[in-house]
Amino acid sequence: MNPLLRVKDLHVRFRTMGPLKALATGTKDPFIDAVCGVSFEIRKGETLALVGESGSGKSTIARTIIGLQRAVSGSITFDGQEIEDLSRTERKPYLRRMAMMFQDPLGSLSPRLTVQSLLTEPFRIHGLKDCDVGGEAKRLLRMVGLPADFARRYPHQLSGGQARRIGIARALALNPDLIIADEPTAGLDVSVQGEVLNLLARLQDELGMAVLIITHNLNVVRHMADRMAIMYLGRFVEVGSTERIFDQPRHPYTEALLAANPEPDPDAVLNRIEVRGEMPSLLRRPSGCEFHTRCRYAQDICGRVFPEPSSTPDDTEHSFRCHLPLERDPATLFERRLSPVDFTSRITSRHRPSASPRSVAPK
Amino acid sequence: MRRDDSVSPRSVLEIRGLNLDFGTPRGRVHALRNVSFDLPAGQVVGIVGESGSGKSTLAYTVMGLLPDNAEVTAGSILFEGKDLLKMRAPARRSLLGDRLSMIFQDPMTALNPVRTIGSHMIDIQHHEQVSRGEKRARALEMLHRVGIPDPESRVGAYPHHFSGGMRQRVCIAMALLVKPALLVADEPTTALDATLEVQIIHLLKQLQKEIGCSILFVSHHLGAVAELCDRVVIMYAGEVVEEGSVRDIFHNPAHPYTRALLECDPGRIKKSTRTLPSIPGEVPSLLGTKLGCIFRSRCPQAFDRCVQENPVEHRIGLDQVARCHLLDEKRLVSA
Repeated sequence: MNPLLRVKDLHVRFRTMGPLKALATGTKDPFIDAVCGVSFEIRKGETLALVGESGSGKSTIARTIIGLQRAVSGSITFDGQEIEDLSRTERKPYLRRMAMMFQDPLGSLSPRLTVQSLLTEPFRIHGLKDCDVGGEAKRLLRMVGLPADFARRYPHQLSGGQARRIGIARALALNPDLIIADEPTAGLDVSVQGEVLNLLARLQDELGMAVLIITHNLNVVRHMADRMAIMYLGRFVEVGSTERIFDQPRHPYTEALLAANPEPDPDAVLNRIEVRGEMPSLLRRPSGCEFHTRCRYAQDICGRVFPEPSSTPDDTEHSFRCHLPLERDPATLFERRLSPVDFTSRITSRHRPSASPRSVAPK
Repeated sequence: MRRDDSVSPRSVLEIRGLNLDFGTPRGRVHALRNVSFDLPAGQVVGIVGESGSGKSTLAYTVMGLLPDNAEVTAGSILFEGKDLLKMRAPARRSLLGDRLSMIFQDPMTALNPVRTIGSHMIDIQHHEQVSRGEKRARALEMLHRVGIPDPESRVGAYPHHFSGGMRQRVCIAMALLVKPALLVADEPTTALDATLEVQIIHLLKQLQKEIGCSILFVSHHLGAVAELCDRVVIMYAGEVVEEGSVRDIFHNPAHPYTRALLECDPGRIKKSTRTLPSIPGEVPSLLGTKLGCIFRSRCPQAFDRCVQENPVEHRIGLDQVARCHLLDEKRLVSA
């Protein structure tokens, strides 16, 4: 079966300074690579999650798919048709089958329009004039579980959760095949978060659309996504099925992200894997493996050689970019969180080319 | 010069029966109703609740940073034994940046964009009678302590030169530079990524131990609260519904709202599921006076008494307190 959406070797760059300034300062390459060489597929009815810290390029990918941003190179195929090199008008029929939920629920609703006109704007944009506007608005409101009298309200009369529901309803207006949800739970309380995710999951089961979720909240990913991709500095560092990655992360960055999820339990083991420092600037990408500056396992090779994606023989869908992937042993991961001694023994057991300072210290 | 407190009170902050209204064109909104709790010296107390529960309003009331339409109608806030609400404005203001300091939610807007980090950090020491050079040296030391690399060169930088996590570190450095008795932190990690959140919580925990101050930690992130706090106050629609030590609250919640809130946290659910728990309904409007339990419209265990009577505090165990009629019923049954 053909995938619904196929993104291949996508590159997106942003200009950092004008051509004159670049000439004056002698900058040869006045660009930053926000997305470099990303490839993935979404099958019909599937949920893929893009996970990463802010600035890792997740939203840029979404904006490029939907056509708000042009790619430098690479291809985006939607239902067998290459759409990246199409013009705006040629792209329109494909855009009708994709919908985006924006990150800021209230900010993406125009304050001067009623909920009804917000919900039916997609029909106007795509020239569907002969539809019953009031009826469609009622149908969409019912679908997301809001009373019909909401149609007359303005965005300032909505709470965060309600605005999010309107965002979902608007995305569903034209029965899309793909929904791109940019941080669907950002800024929502835990009590409302569950409601919004349940709604999205229920509608997906009913209508069978594919969903691309962009988030940094791993709890959302665990319950929503079939597959996930971890992004760091515009590249995928690990891709695979959600279950597999949660059970056996192979990339140290994934491991750190999973561990950075504070447990709502005061007695939980506090010996967390803390990532040092912050994400490096895209202007000065580290050499070799781009994560080596923050990686607790980094060796000489990590700073020199750029790792190519590799995968395990038993699951070719699970791939990761790491010279020294973590062992596939969930027990050690758990134990290591319990005591630092296990951490040291683990390093030796991984046959490090040179002993790390921590494993030398006790001698 | 720091005055030595000869009497060291057990609680840094005691809030008693605090009521606060906001005047709006539609009427008075009772944003805080009968809020009482203690903040013991050297401890971290977390205030947890949904948006609109009044947790930030409480933080701003303690700091005295409320807008003009706010009015405290009853109650007292005793800080080191003195009532902040009865204090004259200049006296109260001189406490800020001395005994009381605050970290704000959004590090992007908390710093003045046209002034350097150094001048922010020197200015906040305006109570100290030392030379500018000395203040600068202290600022450098504090920046180093919060993990800003190479503080000597960074102290002259402007806020836009720093990333979000670094700015929040600068804010923490500023707040703790004056060695306050009480630090009010209003959702300090909400605007940050998960990996930075962990770093900031660890930093706060470590500095709190070193300086020995108390922290009022406002958050809706249960994981962060579980990790950082000693005690937890659960707020709902302007009322404190439950209070207790962090272990009691997380392992043995007594109020139905606390239980529902804990169940909602997707971090607790380890198995992959398509349906997550949520609390149906919405926080009720706080306009006008309400009789009965404020949570009854969303409570799965509500009964007739919840409509007729305001629940009173019930003590569970040694230091856990919850406001729920069910606890009274249970006691009657067991007696």
